[in-house]
Amino acid sequence: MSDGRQFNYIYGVIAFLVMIVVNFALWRLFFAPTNGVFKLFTPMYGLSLAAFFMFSVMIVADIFEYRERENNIGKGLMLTAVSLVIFYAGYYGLFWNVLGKYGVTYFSPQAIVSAGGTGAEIWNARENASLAILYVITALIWVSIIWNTGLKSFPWQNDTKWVRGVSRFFGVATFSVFVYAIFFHPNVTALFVPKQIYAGVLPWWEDAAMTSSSFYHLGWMFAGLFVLMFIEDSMEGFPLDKFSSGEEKRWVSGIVSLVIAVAAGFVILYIIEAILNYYWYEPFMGGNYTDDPRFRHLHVAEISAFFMLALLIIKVYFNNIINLKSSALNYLVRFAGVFVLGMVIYFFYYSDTIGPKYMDRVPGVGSIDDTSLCWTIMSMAIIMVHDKFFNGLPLRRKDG
Amino acid sequence: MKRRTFLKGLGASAVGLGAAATLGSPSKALAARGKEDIGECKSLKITVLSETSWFNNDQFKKDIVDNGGASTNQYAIPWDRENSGGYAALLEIEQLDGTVNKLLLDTGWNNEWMDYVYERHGIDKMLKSGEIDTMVLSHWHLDHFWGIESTLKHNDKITMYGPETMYEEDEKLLYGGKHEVAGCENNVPFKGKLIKTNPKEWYKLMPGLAVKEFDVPILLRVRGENVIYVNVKDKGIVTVTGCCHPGLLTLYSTARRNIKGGEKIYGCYGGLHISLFENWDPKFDDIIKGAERFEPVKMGCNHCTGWIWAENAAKAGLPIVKGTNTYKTYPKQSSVAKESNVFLTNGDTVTF
Repeated sequence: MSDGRQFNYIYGVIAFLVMIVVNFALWRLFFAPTNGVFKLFTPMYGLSLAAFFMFSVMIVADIFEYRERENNIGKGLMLTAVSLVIFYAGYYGLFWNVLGKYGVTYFSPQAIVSAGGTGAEIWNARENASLAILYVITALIWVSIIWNTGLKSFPWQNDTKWVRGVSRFFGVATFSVFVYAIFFHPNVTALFVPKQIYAGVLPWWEDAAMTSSSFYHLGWMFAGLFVLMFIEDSMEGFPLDKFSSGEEKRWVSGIVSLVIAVAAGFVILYIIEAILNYYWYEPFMGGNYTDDPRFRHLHVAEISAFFMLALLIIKVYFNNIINLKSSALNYLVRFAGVFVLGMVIYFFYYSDTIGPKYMDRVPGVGSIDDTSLCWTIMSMAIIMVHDKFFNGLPLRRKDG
Repeated sequence: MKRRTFLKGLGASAVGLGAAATLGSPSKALAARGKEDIGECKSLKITVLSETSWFNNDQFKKDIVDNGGASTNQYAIPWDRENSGGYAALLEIEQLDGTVNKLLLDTGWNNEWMDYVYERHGIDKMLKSGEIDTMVLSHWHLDHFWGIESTLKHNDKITMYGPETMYEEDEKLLYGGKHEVAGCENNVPFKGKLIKTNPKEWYKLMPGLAVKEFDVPILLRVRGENVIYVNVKDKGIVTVTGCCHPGLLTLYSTARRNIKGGEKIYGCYGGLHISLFENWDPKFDDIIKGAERFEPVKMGCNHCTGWIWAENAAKAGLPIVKGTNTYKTYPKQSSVAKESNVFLTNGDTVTF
């Protein structure tokens, strides 16, 4: 392990298999649309729930730095419970019942229905509110990962953990407001009839994206996040660490982190969409399914998330494959591993047989009623809980 | 910066070629087979037998939401039978020599409603006499298929084109069966020929008319939809759909790419599956702008198109064919019908 602890590959495989069982059980319990219990995959409602929970885990583990490294199951359960409380209080309390009812109508399905007007019934209202919440969470996750990768604890590295956590949380939240307002809010205000033109501008990216949907931004943001995650988890922070000395003066690496997130995000977006164009022709404004530019952008986010999931699996359960002295070789092999596993997950999800059976979904690509992000993000959240709150039990030992 | 230019530059990149080897045949390779010649006809007349699949939008949505959401199995939902109607249309295709062929598109949902509709338009007699001997089933959704008994009771040997992506539950209903929870049944087993359509073929039923299946996932666990392409001489291509789940512009694009003479788009008829729940999304603006680029001449829409989309499309200048008030003479009407008449509603006709 990169943290110097022993890694047992057999335990890694066992833990991975257990994770798959947990994954299947939770998907069937909460999301599976036909054979599930709660059937929350609708899809925006389910997706926003999964994303919010993942961010709650990130708040506890990455922003406030509460992680379990001593194999204490009780502490792991407590941290999980805290994440669930943040998730529940944030999603239903803050968004649905405080912000939605006393501030911004579109964050609460009930508030939308109460306001009346075209399309203001519970089905549309819940999906629209969920989309808005998803966008907010995307902004928070995007800023949070850029911050953690680039700045880490800077400029509060000499303060207590609690001060660092609170400061970083409000720092992330502040920047996220701008990200949300510029990239996502104009989409949400266009969900209503008439468009809320005094609340938000008309989507300004329409010509470049061939759609006024903010899925365009989901595409490049998720792609950029994958690169940052690879830098942090598979390349031990290289090359960002080269821009600063230790914990001091990390503001430079913070800016570089932001530049990488944006630049790499767009480059990957264009590369993946060029490949998709090769298969499905170029999309056109107003097309459906694979012809829909909106779907293509979303699909870039979906593909990036598959690679993020692959990255987490390889890091947590397979110790990043190799740990040789040659960093370059390590990075190369790990990238190859992430790419291959990411493609395997892609074909698993979109296969005509096993994926749809596992996921309880109709085979096919590009349906507006289906996005793989819900399952992928739920899977990443499960692995994060296992890794950060339970120290990857049983695969890591207390003593190295 | 113009994104398209950049993308075109990358289109033939080594990355793309590498992925081509991994993922199998890209769609461009399929297009290289050449264009289909589906022939020509003189005109196409469509009668809206029923486009009111359900009468109360909110109740229909409630049935779905209460039982799991958009992707749940339609046979697992205890639908409100009082709210069920059905979708069906009569196509009359006039050939270049003046002969007229009749074709039934879909068979509705509620048998009581469909029996009324068939009797009102004389479809029952046309089925009995063999004047109508073929039905194209657009897809296996409840509101297009579950009223199958209303058709079979007049002609159980009718030839039927249905997407190959049918489930066991569909088969059970077609060949005489009942689904308790969903509240549908068919007491007249199908004895005709079922042609299961697949997306690789063009099914040419008569000069100027072909059926094409699109294998797309659809809400309520359904998959695949048949689309009727009609090539009207000197006018162009008309698409006729049940719900148009693949997307109107995808259908137009397919015509341009794959049908001889398909460059000229004339129009469409049917449900267009846009703002079916009378909501709005930026994507619906995309469809209006995208449709303008195909320059259609006559657009007849109803059913799952969404009144609000049709109204906005008409305002934006798309050639939406207005309906009449005939629907008001039917015993039940849709709760979303408006005075703007941007839908071709029950009893209306349109000629291409």
